[in-house]
Amino acid sequence: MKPAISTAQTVALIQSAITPTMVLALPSVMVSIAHHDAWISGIVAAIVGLVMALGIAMIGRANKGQLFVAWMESRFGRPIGVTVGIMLGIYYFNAFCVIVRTFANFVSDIVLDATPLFLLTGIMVLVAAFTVMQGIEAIARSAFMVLLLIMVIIPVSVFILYTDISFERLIPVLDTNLVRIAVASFPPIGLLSEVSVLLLIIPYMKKPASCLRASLIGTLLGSSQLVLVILLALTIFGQQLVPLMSYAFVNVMAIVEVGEFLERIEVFTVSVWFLTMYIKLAVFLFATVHCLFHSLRLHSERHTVIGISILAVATTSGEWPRNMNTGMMATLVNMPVLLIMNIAMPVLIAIGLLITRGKSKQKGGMQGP
Amino acid sequence: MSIRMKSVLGAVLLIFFAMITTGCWNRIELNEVAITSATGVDWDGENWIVSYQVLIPAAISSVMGGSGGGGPKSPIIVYSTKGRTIRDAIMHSYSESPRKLFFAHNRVVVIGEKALQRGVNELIDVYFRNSSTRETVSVLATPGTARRILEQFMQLQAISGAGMKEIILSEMKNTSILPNIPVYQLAMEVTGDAKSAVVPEIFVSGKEDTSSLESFGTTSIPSKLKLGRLAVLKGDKMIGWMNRKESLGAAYLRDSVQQSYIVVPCEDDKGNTGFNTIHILKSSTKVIPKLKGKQLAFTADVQVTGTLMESNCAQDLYKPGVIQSLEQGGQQQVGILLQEAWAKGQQMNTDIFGAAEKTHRKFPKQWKEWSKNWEEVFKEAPLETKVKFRMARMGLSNKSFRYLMDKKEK
Repeated sequence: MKPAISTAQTVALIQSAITPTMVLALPSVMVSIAHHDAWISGIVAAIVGLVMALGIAMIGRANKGQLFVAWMESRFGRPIGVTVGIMLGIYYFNAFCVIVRTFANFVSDIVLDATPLFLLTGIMVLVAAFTVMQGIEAIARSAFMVLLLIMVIIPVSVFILYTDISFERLIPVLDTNLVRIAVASFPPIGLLSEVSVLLLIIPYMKKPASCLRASLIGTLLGSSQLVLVILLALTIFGQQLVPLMSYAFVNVMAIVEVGEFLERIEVFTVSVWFLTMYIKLAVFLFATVHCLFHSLRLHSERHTVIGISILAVATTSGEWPRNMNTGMMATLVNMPVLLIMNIAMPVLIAIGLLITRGKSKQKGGMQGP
Repeated sequence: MSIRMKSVLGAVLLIFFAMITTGCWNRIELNEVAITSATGVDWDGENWIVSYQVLIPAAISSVMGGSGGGGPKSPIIVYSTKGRTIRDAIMHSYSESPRKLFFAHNRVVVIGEKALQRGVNELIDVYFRNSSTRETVSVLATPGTARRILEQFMQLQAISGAGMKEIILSEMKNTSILPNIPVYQLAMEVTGDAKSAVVPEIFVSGKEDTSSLESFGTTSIPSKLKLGRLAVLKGDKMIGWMNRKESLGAAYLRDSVQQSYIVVPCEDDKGNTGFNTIHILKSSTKVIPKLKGKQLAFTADVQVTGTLMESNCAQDLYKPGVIQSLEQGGQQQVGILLQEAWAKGQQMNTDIFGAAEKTHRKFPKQWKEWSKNWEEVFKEAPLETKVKFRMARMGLSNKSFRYLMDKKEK
């Protein structure tokens, strides 16, 4: 393995792994809980997210260049290393399936309502599998290009929507019960914890020492986009109407009407969001394949990708008979799983690393990748 | 298999998949859709009647003066379907139309008075639930049936659905008497703190309908589509109308005046009376809630900038006193508009001015109590007006023409 990802590309990977599902469904969920103070919940979640990003990067810094599973095995022994790898592999597979289905539901709701679900999920998994087969470097390069597009589309969108924005709709600030504001911050905290995927990416970084910067900036970019979408939705539609919207960020862009020549521009926003979603799919499929391939000592990465992809198509098409089931799964039910796998497990790993620090020093550091 | 063969096979497969997945199952050809330019919604007491103004693209060119044998043909066709719900009614359109209704280019939705009195909840739900409909569609109210409005032709605009949207946008921009209310704004207003909304009226002005192209064979047409009053909704149901004067006052209080006109009475040195017409170039209103003892009161702080458009009083506009009297006249007129609109709102027991939101923002603690019976609180709240009127320009003439005439007579 040759380290090939720059810090900027890592930032793009982190933000792509966090943002797409977060801005899709969470704004309306958060506004329905925290009303017009939902943006404060977004900021609270961002602060917690930055702390998590800091923690993950600190853990990742202890890795001196080994692949994640190999690192776990070398520090905790093979049984624990393999168990951690398989558990994470199953978690990432589960997360991948939820993301694919969420994406397919969105496409089905917005444009392709007559297209069979298995075809939508099949194409999405196919694209993700193809990207993963090109390697993490290709995913990172694509993620960086998508990040550049986001940097263009966000200021343009805010500029176009400026006349519809009324900041008065955010007043009175802190009108909502503090408990509700705290509760509304849980769903984004769950998704921000996905920054833990960095632990798998660090060995591929050209400068692993800059993982802290990448982690913090990536999380900041992701949470800023969430706060921005909440602010736009609230200042344009007000707190009563946003909970009605399944995809508030689409509704926000759909109201743009400049004369008769500039309308329906949500197509552009959604197109860029599609790209970020494909990057997220690729990152999570890569993580699944990476963990299972190395934990189970498989021989062909290509065949692992194909096998997992077929299983993913079957799961995403058949697991949730109703779209609402996936919505609940993505926003609320999955939260404990996210917190266990992305926070509790890294905390356990950190404790384990502290305990085995002496053993590591005795061995005299790590071998290269 | 050689690398070259693999590449060729890969390319062939990609092209194959690209071809079979174009638009997937949702592909639809242009000649399979019926493009609606306006939709009408009526209520007959038991069912929803949804009317559609559908474009006939081939006929548009003949109306616009393009070639085509057999004289001008109607560029639109109107038909209606009935159902227990709005979507149920739309589903029945498949039984009578060879094409699928396509709502993406719909410009206005006209709601009949009876349907408005029943409530707009269902309509808003339809617009937010379906991706084919757009929330930016303008909502209009009509005292009769919406279908009759859709059947009318319009001067200068072959597609009256698009024409209606242009009229309301023009009215909002140039006179500000009636606002353009898109579906999403209607939804925001009926769900807001005051739970009240407004919808502009459109009606047929004239006795006969202009539903035949033959009417355009003469220089005047028997009737026109015209904007009128302002329908007032409480909750999601219509409770009455505001006249145009009250509507303009409401526009000031809602801070939605872009440009407008005001006619101010004037009197010259000899006691002759006349009128000055002032074009309002800019207006900004702040409605500020205040507590007077325990009673809630409001102050409307209005800043207006205008230019003189017409004067038929003998006055020398160089004299500072004349400008001052013009400004005072403007202040008085705007103040009267505001008070009349406020009184009408209180009489109708409906806060369409956004006073509830402002009160909630300024007095969040008290709002919890007031929100329980906001209607009563609003009904008792007095309005104080503070209008600052500035005459920015006098036009290209410094004296009124009547002033010159009077001088000559001397």
